[in-house]
Amino acid sequence: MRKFLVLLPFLLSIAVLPAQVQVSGQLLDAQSGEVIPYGEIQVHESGQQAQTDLDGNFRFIVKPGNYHLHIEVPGYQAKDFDLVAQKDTVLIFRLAPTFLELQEVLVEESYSKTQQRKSSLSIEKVNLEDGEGGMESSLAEALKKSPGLNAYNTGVGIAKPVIRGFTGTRVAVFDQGIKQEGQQWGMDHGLEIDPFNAQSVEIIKGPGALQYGSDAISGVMKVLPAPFPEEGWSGSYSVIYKSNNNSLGNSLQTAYRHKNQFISGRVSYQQYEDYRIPAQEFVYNGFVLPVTDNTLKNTAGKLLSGRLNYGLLKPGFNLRLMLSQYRQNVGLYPGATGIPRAYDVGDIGDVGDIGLPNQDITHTKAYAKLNFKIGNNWLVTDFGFQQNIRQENSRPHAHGFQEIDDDNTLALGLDLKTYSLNSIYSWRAHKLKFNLGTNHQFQQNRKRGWEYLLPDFDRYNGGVFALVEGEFTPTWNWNAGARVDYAYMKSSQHLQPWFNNLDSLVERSPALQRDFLNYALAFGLAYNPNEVWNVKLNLARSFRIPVPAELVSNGIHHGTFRHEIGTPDLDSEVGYQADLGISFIQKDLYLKLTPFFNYFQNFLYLRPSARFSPLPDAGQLYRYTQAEAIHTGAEFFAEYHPVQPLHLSTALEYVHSYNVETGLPLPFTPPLSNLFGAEYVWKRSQKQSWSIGGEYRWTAAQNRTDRNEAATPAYHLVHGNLGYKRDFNKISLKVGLRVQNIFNTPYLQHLSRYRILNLPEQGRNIILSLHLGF
Amino acid sequence: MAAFAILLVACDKEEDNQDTTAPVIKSVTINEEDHDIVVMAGDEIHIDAELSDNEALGELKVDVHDIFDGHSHGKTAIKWAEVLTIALSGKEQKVHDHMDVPQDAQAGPYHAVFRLIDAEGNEGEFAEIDFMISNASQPQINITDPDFSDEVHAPKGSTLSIMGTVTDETDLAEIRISLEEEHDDHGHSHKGALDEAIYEADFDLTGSADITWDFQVDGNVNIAIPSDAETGYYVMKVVVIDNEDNMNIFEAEVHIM
Repeated sequence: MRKFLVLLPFLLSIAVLPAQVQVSGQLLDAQSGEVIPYGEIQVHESGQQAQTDLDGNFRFIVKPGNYHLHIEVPGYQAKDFDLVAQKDTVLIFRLAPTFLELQEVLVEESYSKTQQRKSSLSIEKVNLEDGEGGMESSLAEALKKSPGLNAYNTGVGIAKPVIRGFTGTRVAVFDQGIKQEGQQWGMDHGLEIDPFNAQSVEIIKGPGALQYGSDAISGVMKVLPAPFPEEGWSGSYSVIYKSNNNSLGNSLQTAYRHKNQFISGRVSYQQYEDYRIPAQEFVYNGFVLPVTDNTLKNTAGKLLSGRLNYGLLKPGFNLRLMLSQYRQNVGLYPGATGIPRAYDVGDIGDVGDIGLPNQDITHTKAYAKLNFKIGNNWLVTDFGFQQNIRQENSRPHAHGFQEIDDDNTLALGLDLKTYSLNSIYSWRAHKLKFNLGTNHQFQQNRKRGWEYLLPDFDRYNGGVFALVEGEFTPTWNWNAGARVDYAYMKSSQHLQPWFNNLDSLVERSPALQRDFLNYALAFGLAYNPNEVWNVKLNLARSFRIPVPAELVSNGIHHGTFRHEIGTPDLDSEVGYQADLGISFIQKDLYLKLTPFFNYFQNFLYLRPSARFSPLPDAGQLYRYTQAEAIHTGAEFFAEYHPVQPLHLSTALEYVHSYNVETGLPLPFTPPLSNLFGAEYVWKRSQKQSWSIGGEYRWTAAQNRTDRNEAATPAYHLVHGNLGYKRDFNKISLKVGLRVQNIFNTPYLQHLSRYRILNLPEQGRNIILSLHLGF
Repeated sequence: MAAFAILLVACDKEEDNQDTTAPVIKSVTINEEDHDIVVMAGDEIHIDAELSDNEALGELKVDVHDIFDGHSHGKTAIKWAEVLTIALSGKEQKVHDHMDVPQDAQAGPYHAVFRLIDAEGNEGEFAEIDFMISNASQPQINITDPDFSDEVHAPKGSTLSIMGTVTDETDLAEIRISLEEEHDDHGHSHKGALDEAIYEADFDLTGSADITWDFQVDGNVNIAIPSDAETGYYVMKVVVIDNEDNMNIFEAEVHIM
């Protein structure tokens, strides 16, 4: 009997599953053995956070199940850990100290954060808050600092992310979980995301088509959600001033958290004038045209953005809701939409007002995400709705098509509504991690305006995918996946009276119904023989389904100033891709080489047809065509700290593209470029630091161009920055001074809309930024 | 109309010879002139172009339309707009073609833009020719003094008085007179708003039916030449628009010394 009584508690404990388990432990410095206070540990699935105390100890409570822990502490290499919590557990983590900023962060892969070394794809982290040095002038500038990343811009204020030379519908952009849909096939359609919201951005350089769908054939850009705020009130205020175009941007963010719920919001407003270039004139088509007062006429703009977030954390599920609206009105240089005239571009008028032509965008998003625990595992489901209203306004010119009221300036209006539903279920079995997911999207496009480019269409796109991750041995991580996608598109016929004979109707776009079925495969390996070397290999077979613009557009697209015609019977693009990543990491030195090779079947591009458009004042017809193409290149990155506070880095990028059928390069291929950076951070104390740094960019000439694409000469740019950081009792302060293009160098950028007119980019820009956290 | 149908159908993948050299418009004329061209509504205009390419020419497109810069008072006459596309062949070609100016075309300034592509789709630099269309009902400008058939000199510090009349069959709507610096390149800067004009006047005559207007009696057009003006050639320009949007332009040189 006594034996039984002694055993009883033991028997009870194993007979009854605990309602919750305690996870506790310590963070230690791997080199010195010392404890790490104020370290952050996050439980991915439940959203919980724990901080280590002064002795490096942490403790949190979860329901029994499988969890993924992220540990990120500045000054140490980040770590992630798969936790199987069935009973009280004690964990000791030893973190390796590092001087290298890049090694501090974890990246999000499929559904959870992992150390970069375990991922088989090359992932870049981009921060708008430039570390110690104050804010970057724009998302485009922040992207350019990473090798392999660029931006294609139309003046200031309109920029698209470019990954290894690809943009538009070959790069999927996610804003806090919702895939951004804004007619991104258009080269002059910028990213409609408030730069103040894009504090933390991750970019996958390479095929992400497996998890993210058709659009991600060449890369994925993810704007990450802000972490859960601290208990009580918190917030921040940022202000940024740029001298080149008298731009002033303000952003206020506040959050309130009470136990397991929080609500947060952000409002940003930015206004800027026409920007200035280091040139008084430009030459186009043999004529010399004026740039009065070095000012590019009608390039002013304004932007208003608001966002509301709500979160609820419960042991068995967590919920996030998001509502946002982005409104932007930006002028377009009048010389770029037609033949530039001296009397028009020479009279710059009021540098602050936005005249014609201009772009007006309103982008609204609503999003809900639910993480739900089923047994030991997690099901993540999200719903999204977004509406993108794009208006291109210009002076009415009908060329006899119809009578247009002088007040009707809506040339082209596109209203795109997108509904999305995504779900992923993750579980573990036999030492493997499985993910099974599905994505669905339904789109509706309606058009207005007296110009025609694209018909009304409805489109459905859905896919199912499976991913498996495992280890052959602790030094060999592998992952594999497969995906199947189905798409259906229905677009209306568009008839229009012919300008020469108003009684006869001409079909601009045929009625079209198409469906597509395609698959993607991926296999990746990551080899970590020791703490120093890391080798990644990723092989993929991806596809991209043509978007309606590529199939049925027919009109003058002011974004490229060409008459573009779609081809209704195009096939999906198929890509065979190989990515390699080799890195060498020590405490003060980091080297990384990432070569890549892509072979595309049915690569879609606009080919000059050697026939003129029958429309008045229009040039040649460009038709969407398919061809085999090869796209390859590499990036090299090195970071070195000869002493801890001094950071030296170099980032080199190169892309080589080749259209097998024409024998010419693909258009908009970024040139060979290297960015050399140096920064010295002086930590006066734990709470105060100064930084001073500079960057030197050298970009080679781009002479490998497609037909009718101009070559661009080489250039050198120098930038500098100064920063100050101070933590007060309840407030943190960051002040930055950045001078972009210190020597006011006139340079042509190959990936720029206005380059076509031989217009240089912005001149010297002095950027002052202030960030207050409270 | 058939053009669109053909374009939608013809999409053969031809072999590409990697030729990226642009074709060239060596010369282009309207009625054998490349400037100071006036044509009458109802007439036929002759277009001549000399073109060349390193491999094979493709097409030439001629776009004619008005350059009235957006002003309008009424819309009874039609602004002429026309497109002509000519298929080309060979490495060198001399093109001769015609266009009919409609009988009821609005009088005023027009231009013809010439675009050239070769057989591979390489785009050449385009060329432009400005010309005036006159019709029977356009306003008439009759300046009696000074005599612009000879060189007109205007010493600094003096006053240049314009004498004469502007008449119209139905109703004058607007008269714009200016005296400003001449621009060297005959390309695009024909309305240079960069430099300060010595004289600028805009007379709004909408409303009453004005069939005649006098430079002195109605406009008091006495231009004071500043004593510190730069010596050189200036352009005096008189733009007249009637209620049917017919435009007539008078332009002449004035030598300030």
